Amino acid sequence: MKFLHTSDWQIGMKGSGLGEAGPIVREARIESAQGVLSMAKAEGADFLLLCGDIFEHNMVSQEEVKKIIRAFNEYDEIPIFLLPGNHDALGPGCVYNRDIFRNIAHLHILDSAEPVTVGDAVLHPCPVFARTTRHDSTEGIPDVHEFDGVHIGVAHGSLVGRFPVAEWEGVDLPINPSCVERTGIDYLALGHWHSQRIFEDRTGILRLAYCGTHEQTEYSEDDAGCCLLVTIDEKGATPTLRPLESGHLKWRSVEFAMKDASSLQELRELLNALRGVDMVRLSLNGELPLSSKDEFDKLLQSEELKKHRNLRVESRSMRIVEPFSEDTAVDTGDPTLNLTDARLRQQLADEVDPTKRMIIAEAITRLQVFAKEAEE
Amino acid sequence: MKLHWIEVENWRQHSSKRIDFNDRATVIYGPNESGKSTIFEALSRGLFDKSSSSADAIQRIKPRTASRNVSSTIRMECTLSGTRYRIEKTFNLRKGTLLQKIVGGKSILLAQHDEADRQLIELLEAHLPTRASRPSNWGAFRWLWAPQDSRELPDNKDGDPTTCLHLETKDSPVLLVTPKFQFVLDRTRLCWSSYFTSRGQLKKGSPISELDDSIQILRSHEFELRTKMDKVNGDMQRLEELEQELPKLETKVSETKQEFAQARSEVVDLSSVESELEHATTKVKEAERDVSEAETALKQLKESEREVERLQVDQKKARDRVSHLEALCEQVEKGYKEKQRAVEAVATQVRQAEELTRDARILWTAADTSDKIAMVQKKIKKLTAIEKEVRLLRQQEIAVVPTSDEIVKLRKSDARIKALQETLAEIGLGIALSPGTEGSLDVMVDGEILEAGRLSATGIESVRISTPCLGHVVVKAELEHARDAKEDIASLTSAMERTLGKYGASSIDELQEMLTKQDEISKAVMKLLAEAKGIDERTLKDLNSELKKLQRKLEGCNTQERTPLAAQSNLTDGDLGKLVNRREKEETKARTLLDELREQRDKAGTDWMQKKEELAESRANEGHISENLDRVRNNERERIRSFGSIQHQERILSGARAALAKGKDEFERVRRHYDDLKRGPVSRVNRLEKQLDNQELLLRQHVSVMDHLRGAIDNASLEGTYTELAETATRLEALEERLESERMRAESYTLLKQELEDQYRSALSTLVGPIREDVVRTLSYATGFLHEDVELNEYLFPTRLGERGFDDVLLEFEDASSGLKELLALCIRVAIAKHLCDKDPQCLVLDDPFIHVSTDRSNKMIESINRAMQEHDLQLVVFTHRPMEFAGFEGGMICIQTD
Repeated sequence: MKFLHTSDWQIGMKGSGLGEAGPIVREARIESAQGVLSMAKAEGADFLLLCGDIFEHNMVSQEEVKKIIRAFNEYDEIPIFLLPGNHDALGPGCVYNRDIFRNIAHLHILDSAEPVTVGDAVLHPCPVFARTTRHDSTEGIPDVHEFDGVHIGVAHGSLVGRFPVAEWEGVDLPINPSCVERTGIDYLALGHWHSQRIFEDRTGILRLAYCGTHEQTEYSEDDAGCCLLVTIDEKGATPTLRPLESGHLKWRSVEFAMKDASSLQELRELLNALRGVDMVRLSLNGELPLSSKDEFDKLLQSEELKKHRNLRVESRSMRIVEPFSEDTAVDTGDPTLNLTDARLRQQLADEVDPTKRMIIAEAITRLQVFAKEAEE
Repeated sequence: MKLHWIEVENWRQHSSKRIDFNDRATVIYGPNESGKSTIFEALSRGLFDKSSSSADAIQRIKPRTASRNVSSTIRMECTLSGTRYRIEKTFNLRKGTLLQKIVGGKSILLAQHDEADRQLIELLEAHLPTRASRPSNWGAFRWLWAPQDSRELPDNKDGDPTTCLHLETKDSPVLLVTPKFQFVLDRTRLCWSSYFTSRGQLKKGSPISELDDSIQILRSHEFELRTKMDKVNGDMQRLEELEQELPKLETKVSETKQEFAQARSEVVDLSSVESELEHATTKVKEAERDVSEAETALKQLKESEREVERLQVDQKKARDRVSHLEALCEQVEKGYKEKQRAVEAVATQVRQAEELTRDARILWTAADTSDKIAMVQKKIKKLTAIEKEVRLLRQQEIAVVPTSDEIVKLRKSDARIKALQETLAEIGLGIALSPGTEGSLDVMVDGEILEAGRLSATGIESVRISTPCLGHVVVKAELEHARDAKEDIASLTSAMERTLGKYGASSIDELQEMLTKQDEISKAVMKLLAEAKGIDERTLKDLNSELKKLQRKLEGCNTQERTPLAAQSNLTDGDLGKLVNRREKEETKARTLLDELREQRDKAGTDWMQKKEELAESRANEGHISENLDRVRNNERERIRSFGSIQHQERILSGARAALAKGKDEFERVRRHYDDLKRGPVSRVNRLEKQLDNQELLLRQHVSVMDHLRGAIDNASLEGTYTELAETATRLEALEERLESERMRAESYTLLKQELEDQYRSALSTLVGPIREDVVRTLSYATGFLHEDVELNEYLFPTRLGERGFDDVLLEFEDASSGLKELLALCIRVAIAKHLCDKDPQCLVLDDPFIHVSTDRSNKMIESINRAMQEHDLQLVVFTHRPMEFAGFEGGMICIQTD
């Protein structure tokens, strides 16, 4: 018995904090979904198991739903079992109530706790009926110790109990990991977490797994953009779990500390190294000398950097400094301009608010630039 | 700049005008509408406007009398920065510019058309306008040239007006504001102006405002979407609550059903009591019916009785009325007939009066006609005599007479001939013959033989004297003057003869006689004709015609036969006119009386007819009443046969009422018994039944609301609002980031601009000082030291003035009088002109600068300007309609109308 475990496609997500890259990320999710189906076929999976949050919200556009349906229909030889999650929860207005989901023979919406037989395996769905709930949906999985076949629990929520809560989302949609021992299921396929995580049961066998989102959704995620190929040969056997990369976009979040003018070269080298990464978040801190500001601005506006799908530069933690000395005074060749320059630098030295400092620094830079233009 | 001369062609009221400017002052004067301001305009357009402009202000340059588009041209020469230029610009029909440099008396073409306009503007350090130029385009000239419609000093509404002034000081080698600084400042301002208006407001169309607008729209849209989603969430929450309530409602309905079933089983059987109640009700109804029937019968009997009585009374009244009307009719008929007889008598009188009047008129007409006939005959006689006399005179008229002018002309000719003959006699060959006793002389003068008997002649060419046997003598001469005189004589004589011949006269006197005679005849005829008109304007033919008419009329009168009455009553002696009047009056009086009597008769007749109609009506009425009475009596008899008498029926009614009262008592008793039984268990069953109905209705409504909510939520889900919201939120985020970035950029430009301008003004202040001092000096002098202090802002615009005696109080410029403002503005212009003259000679051009300024102050101002012209090589051009005020300027005065 081999199946592809995936979840949290979040089709239609906003992409908060991504600015103009939002539409890129949204489109990438649909492409990756098609990729997952293709992988399922290539790996010879018996079925595809979707563990919730396939859609970001029940009120996603029909257009986006159609794209996913189209992808499903392209691979109609693969049975698809879909568990609604808390984002696409069952109930009035559920996206799966739409007529478009009817009459797709190979798609099975797991909208009740009734077990579903798939060949030699039995799926025990734990559907979600609300956005938030304190009810453990796995309580409905029956005791299958005495029943033949491979039994697979399908749930969407947060594992609690033995595992540290501090790292997790909270106790909303709780799932008690001891349900594996209680029910005797061979594998608990989970959705809700976007990073891939695999856990042992009490006997030390890896039976509980979050496959992770098929396409990374934000910079803070790790081990995302993948799914799990699960193979269970027989009842009680140890499941074989093979992660498969399904994400299209490459994400990288880096921090860089500016020390002095020489840091610009290091920054340049860092940016070169990030070539080929689609989504880059660059967090800058430290101190940038005023005299280097123009070069710094040019570096970040270079054509090369426009090749990234999204480059977010966060520089609020970076301070522009102007050590006040005769050595650093700039002669523009005009006494009145020099006076103006000196006044602005004095203001910069006196100002503590970072935003205002940026403004003053920008004003000084413009003055220098225009003075140079006048010479030309 | 110094102006040398200007020429305009087809420029408003100037078809062609040239003005040569004095090196110092030129005062151009003339009355209103003589074209002074037009010259000023021509100066400004010639320098600052593009010849290719088609602005309305440019098109209005053409002369008003021009029926179609014409070319308006201005030519001028001026010196700028030591170089003399000639500028020629043509507007409207033929557009074009020529810019030439004058070197050593020769002109060198520098540029043409747009390029020439551009170069010129560059030389002037001004700005090319987009349409028609305004003082704000003139650069430094806006300070020096003050046209009538722009007399105020420049302000900073369109930017700093002092930037066009040269800011170098002549004392310091260091430039206060270098081109580099200016470049940086301009660049900064340019970048700043892409965000802000000149007043510092955020500019529409700037990156910030556009981003802001987009963000507002997106936010608004986002709000709508969120509201939509909130509604859906609210619906879902409500649905959840309803789902929770549903089981409770279903339970309540079930409980009520059980209770109802139980209550029904406890109800007592009321059927027997109900039956008794029904019987009692029936009995009461029967008794009521009996009473009603008896009452109805009694009512009908009494009605019949009353009806009979009423009709009897009516019948009596009707009969009385008929009798009364019959008597009245008789009386009215009698009166009518009397009137009729009176009318006939008066009618006879009227006929007699008419006859007498007619007869009188005939008599009067005949007499009058006879008189008229006599008069006409008299006129005819007179007119006939006049006509005869006129005919005789006309026979004596001369057909063709000369005019006085012709006679005068003839006399002159005659005099001329005589004069010429005298002259000829003096200058011609005079020939005098003395016949001898034997032989004869043949004398030929100028080829013509002298007639026998003629003893003298005058020749002009030749004289030949011959005798048959002695030969001949020929004397020739070339007497041109004599020839001319002779020719003239001949010509005049010929003309005279023609004229005389035309009128058949032989002499002028004869002509004169003819004219005189004809005049006399004409006068006599006119006189006779006037006399005839005085007698009668009509012709004889008309008068004869009238005479015939009158005679016929008289004949008509005479053939009328008179009646005996007329013959007896109308006497023919006496005044027939008075007789006619008298008879007419009598006739009128008789007619009036007749009309009155007729009116009375007709009224009596109408009255009689009315009375007859009334009588007929009353008779008919009486007949109807009698018929009704008979009918009602029959009816009464029928009722008595049916119901019996009234008394009998009253007895029956009394019995029925007693039976009814008894029945009601019985009914009340049974009903009380029934109500007592009903209040108990039956009431409960009814209550529970109603309660069950209500609860089932509530349940149905509850389920319906739930279905409706489900449908709404499903529909909302289908709309895909979340996706739209996600896309909107993403776009919003991106725009907000960009907005923040733009705001920071804008603020940095604002900061830099402010700092640069502060520096600029600080630099300028070193220059403003000397200018201010100059202004104070001039103003102080002009006002007799009344205002010795002036504050100027950084744009050289006055803000306050000091006044002697008010050391602590400054007068706000806006509160100053018009004259003081005008004076101060002129002081500032002169100070700036002097400053600019340090670099290059300048020209002040002013249009009536002293409109509000008093004479004493204007005179002092003129002194100051004269000094400035001497010391700073300043030129001045003034346009005014009061030349005497400006006579103090050193220079020339030009009257625009004559020069």
